[in-house]
Amino acid sequence: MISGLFIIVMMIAFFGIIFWAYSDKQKANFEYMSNLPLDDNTETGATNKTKGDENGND
Amino acid sequence: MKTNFNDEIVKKFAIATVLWGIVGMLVGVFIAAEMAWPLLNMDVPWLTFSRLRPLHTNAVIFAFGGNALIGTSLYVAYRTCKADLYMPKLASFVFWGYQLVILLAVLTLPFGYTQSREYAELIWPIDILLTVVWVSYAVVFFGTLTKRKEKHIFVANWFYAAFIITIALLHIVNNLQIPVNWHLSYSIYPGAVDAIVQWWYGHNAVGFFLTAGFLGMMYYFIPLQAGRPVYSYRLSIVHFWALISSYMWAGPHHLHYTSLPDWTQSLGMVFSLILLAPSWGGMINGIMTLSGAWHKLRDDPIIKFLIVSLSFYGMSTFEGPMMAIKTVNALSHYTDWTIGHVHSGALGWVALITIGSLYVLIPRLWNKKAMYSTKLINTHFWIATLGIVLYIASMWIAGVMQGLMWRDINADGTVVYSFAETVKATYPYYIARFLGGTLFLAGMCIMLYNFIMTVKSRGDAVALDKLEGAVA
Repeated sequence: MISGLFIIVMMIAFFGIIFWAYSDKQKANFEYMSNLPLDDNTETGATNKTKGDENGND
Repeated sequence: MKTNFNDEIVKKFAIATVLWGIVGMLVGVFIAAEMAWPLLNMDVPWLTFSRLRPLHTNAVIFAFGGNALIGTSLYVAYRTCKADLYMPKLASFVFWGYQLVILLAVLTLPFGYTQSREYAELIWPIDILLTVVWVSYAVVFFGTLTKRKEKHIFVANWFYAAFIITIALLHIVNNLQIPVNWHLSYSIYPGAVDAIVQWWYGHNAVGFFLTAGFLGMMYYFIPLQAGRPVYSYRLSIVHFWALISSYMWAGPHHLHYTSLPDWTQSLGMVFSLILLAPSWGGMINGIMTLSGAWHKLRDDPIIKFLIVSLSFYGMSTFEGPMMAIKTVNALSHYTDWTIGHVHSGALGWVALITIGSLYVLIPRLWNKKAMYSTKLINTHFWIATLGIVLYIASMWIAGVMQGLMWRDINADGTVVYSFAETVKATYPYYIARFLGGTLFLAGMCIMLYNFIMTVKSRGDAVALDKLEGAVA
């Protein structure tokens, strides 16, 4: 009984995640997130704020 | 040249990855040679296949793969969080502690100190050290995530996080032992329960160490090198939750036709089949990142490494569920087909994506414009790919042949072939496998040379234009 209910709860949670991921509300945020790896022209970490493209690293 | 701690620690992991990779693969090539020419053990106990095989698996999985995963996870975390690493001294401890664990493995396994649990051979004192190191690693990683300047946690970090948490869980539960003396201990689990705990561990090590962690690498380094965003971010989220919720139950397929209850075996088989969906969803998401930039697959050998690794990932995640079907397993189990399958994943997927990511990472860490020689990257790619194909094709043929010979029964119920006859029939394939492994190892040596020359090269654009001309 408990395990059966647990399966239902997990399934609802999983479909909820899919519904959330594919909702229009997330679109702009996901667009931004999917570009995060490309944001490579700032030097490592927060402590080095100034770093242009002067070394042509990227 | 600017140096900072974040890069310095990842540099150490990058160097360790390549060096341990060469050591682990060298041991692999040696034991492959022993299968073809058994006299090579020279009657020295610690040179025998049985002693060196766990050294090989531990070195390539935990030393090569582990250093690559820890190093890249820290890099991805501080890059995508735009924050410095949390507790730098603890991060240093993670590096040196992890190398100590590997060194202790080298000093114990060949001399017969083992728990005799596959992929968890290390004796209990080393297990405790590894637990301390791993928890420290988790503190550094999750601490860095909490310091993030971005609102959300980038998807690659989710995969790395699942890898870190699950490996901690697996390692602790599977190594619950009662010590008898400094090196001997006994599992707390009885009989068939012990077997399923071991393969719950073993298969999830495949799922979370050799898959989830490297998928984290995929979601960061492929977009970075291709210069394209993640193909579908929403798919990456569904990919993550689907993968981590179905992997946990696939372990029983390692124990088909054993004393494990039948229903558990069938459960393992069904969940292995379900796994095909998230695996291929993720693979497609990675490959489609190149959408609109397919020419890079032809021009850029680093992209070749990254994308071909996904092709091997797709192949082995199709082959795996198929081999988990009980009737197929009846043929494949205990044969060299399994070895072929494992290496299609380990060399094709894990090693190729690691090598590709390192080629992206090395020039960035050492502040160079590019690797010393793009031409040598291309050579490495082809020699490695040829080695993998030779390796897995010979083991497929050998495995299916062994399976068919073992099940061949005369009319009176006796076996047609003795076991020794099947070993004899396998010799040519063992030699082909040895050659394949040697090629792959040679590729790693080329990489080491290219790595050293990149670090030694002065400033930025050393001979780059000249070399680029040669590659195109």
